[in-house]
Amino acid sequence: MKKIIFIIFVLAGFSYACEDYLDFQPKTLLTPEAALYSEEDVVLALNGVYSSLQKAGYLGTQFTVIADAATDNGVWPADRESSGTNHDRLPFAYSLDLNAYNTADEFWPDGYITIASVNNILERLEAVEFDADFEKRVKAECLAIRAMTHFDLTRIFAQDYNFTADQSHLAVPYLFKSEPGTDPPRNTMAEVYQYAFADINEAISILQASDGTELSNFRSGDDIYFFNYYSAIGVRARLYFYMGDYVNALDDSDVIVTSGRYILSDYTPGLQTPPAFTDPVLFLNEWFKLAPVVESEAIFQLEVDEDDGDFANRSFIDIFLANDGNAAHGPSADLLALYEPADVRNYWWVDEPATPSPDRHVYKYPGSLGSNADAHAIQVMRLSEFVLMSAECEARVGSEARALTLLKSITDRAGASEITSTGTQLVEDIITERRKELAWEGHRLFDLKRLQRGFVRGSDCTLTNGNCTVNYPTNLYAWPIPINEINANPNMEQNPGY
Amino acid sequence: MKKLLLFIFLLIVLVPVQVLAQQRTITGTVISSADGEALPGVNVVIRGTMTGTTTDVDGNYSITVQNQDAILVFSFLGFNDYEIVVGSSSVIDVSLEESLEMLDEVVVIGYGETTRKSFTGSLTSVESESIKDIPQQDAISMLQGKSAGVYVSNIDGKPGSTSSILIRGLGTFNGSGSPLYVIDGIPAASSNTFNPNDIESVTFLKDAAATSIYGSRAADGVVLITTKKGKAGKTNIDFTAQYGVTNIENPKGFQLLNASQYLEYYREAAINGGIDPDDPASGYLYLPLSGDYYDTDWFDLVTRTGTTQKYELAASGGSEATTFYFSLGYYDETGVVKGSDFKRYTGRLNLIHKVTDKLDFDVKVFGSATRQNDEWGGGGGRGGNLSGSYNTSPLKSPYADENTPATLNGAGFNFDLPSNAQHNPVALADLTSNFYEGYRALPSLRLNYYPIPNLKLWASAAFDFSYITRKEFMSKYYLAETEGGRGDQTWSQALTSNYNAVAEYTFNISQDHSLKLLAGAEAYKRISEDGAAGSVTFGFDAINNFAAGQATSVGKLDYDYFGGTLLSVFSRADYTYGEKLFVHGSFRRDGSSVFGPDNRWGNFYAFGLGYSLSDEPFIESIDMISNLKLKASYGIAGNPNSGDFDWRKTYSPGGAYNLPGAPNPGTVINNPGNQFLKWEQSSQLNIGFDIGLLGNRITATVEYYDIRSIDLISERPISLTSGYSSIIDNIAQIKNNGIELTINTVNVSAGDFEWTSSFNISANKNEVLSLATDVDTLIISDDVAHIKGQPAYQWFMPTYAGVDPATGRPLYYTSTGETTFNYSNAEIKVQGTYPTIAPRFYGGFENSFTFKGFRLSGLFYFRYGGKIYRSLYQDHMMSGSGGGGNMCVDELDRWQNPGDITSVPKLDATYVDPGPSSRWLEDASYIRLRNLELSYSLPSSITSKLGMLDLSFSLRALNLITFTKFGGLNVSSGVTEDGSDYPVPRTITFGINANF
Repeated sequence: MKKIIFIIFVLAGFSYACEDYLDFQPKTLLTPEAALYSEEDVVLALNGVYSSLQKAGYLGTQFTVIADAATDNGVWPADRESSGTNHDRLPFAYSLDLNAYNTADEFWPDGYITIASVNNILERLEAVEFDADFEKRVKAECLAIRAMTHFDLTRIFAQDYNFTADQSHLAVPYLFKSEPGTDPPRNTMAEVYQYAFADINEAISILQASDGTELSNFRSGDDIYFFNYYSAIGVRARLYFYMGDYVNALDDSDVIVTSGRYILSDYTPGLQTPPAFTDPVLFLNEWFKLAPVVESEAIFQLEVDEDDGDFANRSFIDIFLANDGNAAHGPSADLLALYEPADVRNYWWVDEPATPSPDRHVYKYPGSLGSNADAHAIQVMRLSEFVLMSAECEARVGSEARALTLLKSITDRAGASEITSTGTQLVEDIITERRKELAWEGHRLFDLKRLQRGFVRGSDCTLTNGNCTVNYPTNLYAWPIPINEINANPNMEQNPGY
Repeated sequence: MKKLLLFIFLLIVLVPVQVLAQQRTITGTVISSADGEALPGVNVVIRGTMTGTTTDVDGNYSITVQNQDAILVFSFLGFNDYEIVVGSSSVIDVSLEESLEMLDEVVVIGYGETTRKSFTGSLTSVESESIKDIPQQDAISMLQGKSAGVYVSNIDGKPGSTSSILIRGLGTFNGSGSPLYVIDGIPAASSNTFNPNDIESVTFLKDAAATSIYGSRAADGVVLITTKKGKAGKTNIDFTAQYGVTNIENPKGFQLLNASQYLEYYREAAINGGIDPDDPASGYLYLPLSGDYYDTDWFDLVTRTGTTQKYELAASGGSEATTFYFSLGYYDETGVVKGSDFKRYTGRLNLIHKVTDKLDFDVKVFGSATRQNDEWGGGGGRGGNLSGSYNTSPLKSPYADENTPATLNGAGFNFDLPSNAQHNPVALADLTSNFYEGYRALPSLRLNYYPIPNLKLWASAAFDFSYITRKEFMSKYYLAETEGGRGDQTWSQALTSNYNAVAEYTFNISQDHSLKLLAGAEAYKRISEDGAAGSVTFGFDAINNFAAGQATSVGKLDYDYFGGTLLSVFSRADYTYGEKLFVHGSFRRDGSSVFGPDNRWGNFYAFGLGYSLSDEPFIESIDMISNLKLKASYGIAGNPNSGDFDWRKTYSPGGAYNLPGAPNPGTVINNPGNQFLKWEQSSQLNIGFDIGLLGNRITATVEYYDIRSIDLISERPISLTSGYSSIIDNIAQIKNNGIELTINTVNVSAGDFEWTSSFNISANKNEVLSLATDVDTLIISDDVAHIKGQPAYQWFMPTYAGVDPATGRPLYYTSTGETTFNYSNAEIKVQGTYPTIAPRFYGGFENSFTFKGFRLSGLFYFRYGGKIYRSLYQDHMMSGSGGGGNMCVDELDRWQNPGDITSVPKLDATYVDPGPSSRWLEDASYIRLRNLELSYSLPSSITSKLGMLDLSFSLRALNLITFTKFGGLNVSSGVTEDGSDYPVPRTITFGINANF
């Protein structure tokens, strides 16, 4: 009997040893347990989430470029290469020759990588007890990112919120879990907003501590690179604004505008000589630097550096800026014509002294253009956006006087003439001021959609495909979902026209 | 004490024999009639009795007989039995003749040996004669055409390159289809480190009955490599020296334009494209007839006559207790493309020592060092020595002259070469290097213990360690790159360990029934690591290591780690009835780390049946038939064709969210994993027969097989909303079936003259049974697809309809059979339903003539069917739009005037090549005289005076002639012809072999 027990013991030990021997662990990869084990691990994973916002498909390039190139703000520069790599940098963003094969094909996966990464962290937070404040803070940031990313996906892949009266038109799948192999269908726009509000409301309620101040942050230092209470409020303000709920949008926008935490940055012209320039040229000092730029008003900002990897499209240093004098996209003549001669914002658009011919390029946020030439700051949210949002809301549903005051703070800073109009003209002027102030920061296309307007490109539009004029409604406002998604997911419905 | 016990034991056993010895003792020596060498281990039995003995290590025996009428029977595996009546003599020396019959040939199988007669599965084996002394480092490529069912492909001439083997068709998508290599019982990678002269035999195991004892790794077949052993007796020393030259077999295979043709060509292209070739503003198309041009033959400048040298010293021998085989080898090859060469140094010691009658051990140690120079970047592209020579304009000089701008003069080389993006292929050999240094050690130890008769227990431990480092350097004077020089180094190391414990038991149930049992366990582990680092901007050319550059090389810092473990138990039973019916069964259970806990264990098994009809009286009575055996087998083998960690959900370090002035590391999602992932399973049926006619002067084997491979592992695209683009999964099924025929004949055997032939042919049909659910067509790349119901890897592209005689523009067929200029309206279709990338059939035909000391032998290899996509040709048939790169002379057949009938379109510098089409597919059939050898052995009357056993000279030619319609440089390199292909050389060598 002892022998039998001994044999069973040996066999059990052996089979345990077998399983152990066969559990051969990777050394360059982390298993889910190892990846999200401790608080420190969770912080690393959250960094990974923020870095995915910088990806070439999302705010790092594609999403941000499309928002202006695809509108009357964009043009192909005269010195754009006739072929080659630079020629191939997002040409569709301007031509609007959209198809499911290679247009916005990076934003869809990159957006959902962000969402899947966020969901993984949220699942882990539910399963494990961490320090309560830490857990709350991480959860709030994750929820805010989840809401913003889904909202951004609808801005490209779905028509505007009021496209149908009951918001029954298709938006994008809103995902609370990463489940590879499942085939989620598209949610309606109403559902996406409902879920996004749920997420952002929870995030805001967590971030706002019981005494009305902000929840303590486990990080030290400046938090413009991470979601905080105000950037979460900013996401919700945008949601209301895009719905046309100007009352609520105004409430949220004013939380930021009246917080006292952010003040409009100065715009100080200064001479700079970037490489490849022989003579000094005027730029705006607050913009001509590495992050943080316009620091006093920055709410949420990214520092994108090609050397950090994952910028397949060489980030957009090559798209807007100097690349042997032939950027792939530039500002339209119609946009440039909006600025009065004395407007310091003219220094965002610079004639590049390069061969074959000088051409005006986007130099709004050129980084340092020095030793770290491929790094620059990208605005996700800054005070000016919300000043203009409050102004527009006031003009529509509140006090025109306050709208004019808010507007004056923007025009005065720029050295532009004060706006004094009233009624619908005031609203129009605010929309135009918004176009001027926020140009090439990722807003114009979405403003046009929100306002249910088409656009007419100026005489510098040389397209022969008919896309110099776009009338609302248009299929060009709901971009094709990538073919890989359509092929792999039988429940995925393509947008009309593709 | 043990020795004393043994002595007492022997005394007790032997004394009675001595007592009875008044009968009579016969002694003698048994030798082989073929070479006169003593034969140890020969059974000597008195007929009709159980009395017997075996010869000792010197072939001597001693046996006691009762009377003069006793008949001694001498029998030994591989030799004919010999019987003699004792008579009055007390010394009987016997010379045994080698058996012509292949039946009792010993063949190596998994975890042991068996006889060919009793083997129920499918195997072919190639003996050392075919492999040794080949003027090539890669033993595997020399096996092309030697064995039915074994398709050897990717043969190119690059020094140090290795070819690949596919046994019985491709049965996987995720893996390469390469078989499992087992060297002396140890799973080990085949590579260019091995010395072919150490090989005793190579055995290809082809069906489940043969392979499934290797279980989870056996679905693609198994290649067993057995190295030489020493024989007890006089020490034998063998020395071989070989020297030869290599030349490109068909240098005209890819002929490019010379200077005047080039000028005519691009001028016409410019004019047709509306560009003035006489206008200096036309860039590379500014080609005035009056210009001052060179006429450089770049191809000629980057190629050369190569050499191959080989020196081998081997010694073998030993005593009754200890035998050894020892070898040293040196191989040296310079390639036909400048900048490529390969050297290898090898050493081996195989030692067997008998500790007692019940215990012996077997030690094998192999070590090698290799040195290889390769083209920059491995060849291909603009920066390849050979491929760059195709691109570069013949009007330009390789060397700087007085007109070369100083900024484009790099160490005297001309870098004003816009046609090749400033890359100078001639300068590459001088200003770049790509050097590999490799080491490999393969030590093993095996203990054999025989506790009781017929039971053998053995245990082994074996290790395979390899280390390769690659140093790549580009001089700062190589001006095509602007980094001011570049130095990179990569290194990789791998360690495999393998432990076995096996018991073998053989017993006869009764006279007619015998059973052989084997059971064992195995543990296997492999770990590999590799790294890379590099820097750019060098101040000096002489200090050129990877860290000496003064700026970091972006993306050049890398580390990777792979590995896996396997645990197994296995068993085998072979039952024999009356030496004519053979039943085989095997079972293996494998656990592997490449699958998740729920799916990591798999069971594999096989059954086989053999029936030797020629041992039945009704066949035995037919004189013509000397052997007839039927066999059939069925079994399951597996394939773990998944990445080491693919089943795991993983994160990876990365996604640093660096803030200004503050590094901020992160982790990102990496792989979704699949815990349900399991083995690829291959169920294999094999039926066939062996026949021998006319006393086995004609032997043939015919086999039919049907293999279904299911649960094939592949990436399955999934919804991107998961954050991933695909998941690894078991999705596809492939079927392979085919027929193999092998015939060996002794055509003439008259006196000193003998002519033998060997022929084999294999036909395989491959069919994709299913892809992922609801998928009938899976596009692999822009010109290849898997299509349900058809062979895997179909060429999938528009069909070329030739050139429109009116306009000179290329035409393609639409789905309605009309022609169109518009490539995007063309129908994308499978180019020929069958054959496709794979050949329809292939085989070899070998003849050997011997007369006295002369021997002439030749092997033809043939392949029929299959198409090669000539991507390289396409790149050099650009219809005038080649950006100044050189083009093929075939372009001169271009359309010029309305009404011209040609398949080459009009030249136009603004033409844009639309993409792949059937225009670039060419039949890959060929017949090649792979090996031709003439050798002469001096008569023994002379060699004995020289104190030698043998002295022979040989003249050998590899790839002497190839018959093919294929137009490129190398029909045998792969399914796509591209710039990195290396021409296959014609090699002619002279060798001398001395045996002491």
